[in-house]
Amino acid sequence: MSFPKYQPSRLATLPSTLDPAEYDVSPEARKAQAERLAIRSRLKREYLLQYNDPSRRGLIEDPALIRWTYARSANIYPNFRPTPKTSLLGALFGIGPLFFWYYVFKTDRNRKIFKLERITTSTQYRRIFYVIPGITSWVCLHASCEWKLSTQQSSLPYY
Amino acid sequence: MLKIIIPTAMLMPMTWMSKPNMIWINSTIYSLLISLISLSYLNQLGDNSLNFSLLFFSDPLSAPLLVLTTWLLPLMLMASQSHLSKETLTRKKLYITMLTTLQLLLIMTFTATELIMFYILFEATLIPTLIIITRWGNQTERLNAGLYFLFYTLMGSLPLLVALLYIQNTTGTLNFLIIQYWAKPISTTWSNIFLWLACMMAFMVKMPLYGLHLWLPKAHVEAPIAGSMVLAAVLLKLGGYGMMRITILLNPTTNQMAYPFMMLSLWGMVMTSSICLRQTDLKSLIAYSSVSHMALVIVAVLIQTPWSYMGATALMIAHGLTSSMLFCLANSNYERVHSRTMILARGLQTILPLMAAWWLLASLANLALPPTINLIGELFVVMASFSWSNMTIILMGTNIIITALYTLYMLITTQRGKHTHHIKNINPSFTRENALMTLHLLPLLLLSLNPKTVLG
Repeated sequence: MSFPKYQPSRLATLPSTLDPAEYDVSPEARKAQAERLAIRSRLKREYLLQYNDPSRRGLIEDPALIRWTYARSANIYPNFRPTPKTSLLGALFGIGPLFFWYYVFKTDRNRKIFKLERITTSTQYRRIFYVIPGITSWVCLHASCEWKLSTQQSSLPYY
Repeated sequence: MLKIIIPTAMLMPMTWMSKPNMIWINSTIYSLLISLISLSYLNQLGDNSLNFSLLFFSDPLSAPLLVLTTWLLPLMLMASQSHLSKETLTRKKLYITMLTTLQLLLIMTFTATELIMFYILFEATLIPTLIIITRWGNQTERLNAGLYFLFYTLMGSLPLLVALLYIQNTTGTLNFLIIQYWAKPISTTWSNIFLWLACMMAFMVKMPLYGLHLWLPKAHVEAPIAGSMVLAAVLLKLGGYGMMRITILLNPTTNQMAYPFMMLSLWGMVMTSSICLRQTDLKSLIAYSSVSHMALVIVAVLIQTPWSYMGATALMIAHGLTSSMLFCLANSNYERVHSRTMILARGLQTILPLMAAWWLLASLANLALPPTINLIGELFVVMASFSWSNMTIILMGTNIIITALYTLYMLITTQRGKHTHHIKNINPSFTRENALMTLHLLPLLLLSLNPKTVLG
């Protein structure tokens, strides 16, 4: 009898008994499957022994989990070696952005300081500048009533 | 000020002479009383600081930090009761003595007038912390952690001693009250640049700044619960407090010199928040989130505007309470499961619902939910840095989003979902633990009603 073509769907995986590849495996593959089954059943037996032990108090330790957490948290540096990939990643994400953001902020701040100095020192905008200090000084007076550390000085009049 | 120092010093003989079943009760109750005394210092005068003597004073910056320190001692004692229950009596008393010594030194540090006295006490706080981490930690990595902690901080602060002595020789005094009127603006010569670096590096290491933060995850993870609490809540704030005090002397060099550290803090904020998303260890996640929050404080202190200082102080108090609470919650997990791996103990909401409520509130505070003071602090810092330069909003916004992401990741992994079936026989929450969480949360929520107290 020929097998109908069973296709697995999203909610129904193909069971191994309906998979035609299951039936013509080599003896070595069978032996490997038997060994894996032996390991799995030994681990499951140990787990079930501990799980159903009435005098157990606390959790069952999983050595694989312990090895995994140790590798992820405490064993990183001994296994680190500077390769081209890691040094590129380090430069790209660790050092490069520092210089990049430095230039971004420096240009932005220079533009700001330049604009501010132009307004404070030019004669054309001086009339505007009479009103602005009035408002800012009123706001600052109001704010400084609640601000008790009155000795910090900043060199630019922003808040 | 002696009202607080002498009772704290007397806590030590009281511990050694108490009956064995009364040590925890005595020390906790008396340290709570001391913290209630320190609340009276919050009543600050308008323009000036409260001066108690030639040596001690408190102003709106140090008073909230002082109250935080004294509030934390009873909480630390409550949190340590369980993991010390198997030790001998002498070791328990020794532990309480270490905590009390640390408390005493911290109180004196926050209220010191002379900067040299501040420096001596700043260094002296390292020793009890080192003893607590290396003696009572849980894993073998604690020795390495103690080494990193001690030597990073010492290396950073040795230049500070030289700088303080130099300033004493040139300015004639290091009394904080006098020097704020006598400080002359210094020019940007090479020697002044080194002076600036020498003054600031100690506090940058303590904060910690992103490039020098390696000691923090190690120390926090390996410390016992009281050590983690005091490290996260108070010792990091020592760095912020010191920076705020010492920047008075360093104008206007700060305008030029601040750039590298601003870049490190801004980018480091984003980097450490992203690292949090990939952590497996719960305490390590909280430790990296501390680095991220403190980077905000560094940015605020380096900008030096009124709003940023207000934001920095609010953020320091808020982070102290929130971080300490998160460490207590992580410890309550650790005591039951004896492992810090997050995925090992999931779905705790079905088993310990009240503890899940505290987890939720702590996580919401950590991600700066309005109207907590976490939000007020962060908002002020973001606004001040926006006025410093418009582009910082990109990095700040990214950091706020990633903070929310990893906090919710931590909450969902530990609380929600199906619980792992081997934890169904853990102890229920003790009243002591619930009281601990309440005592952490209550100041935080009350301060959102009156943030003026911590806005300095």
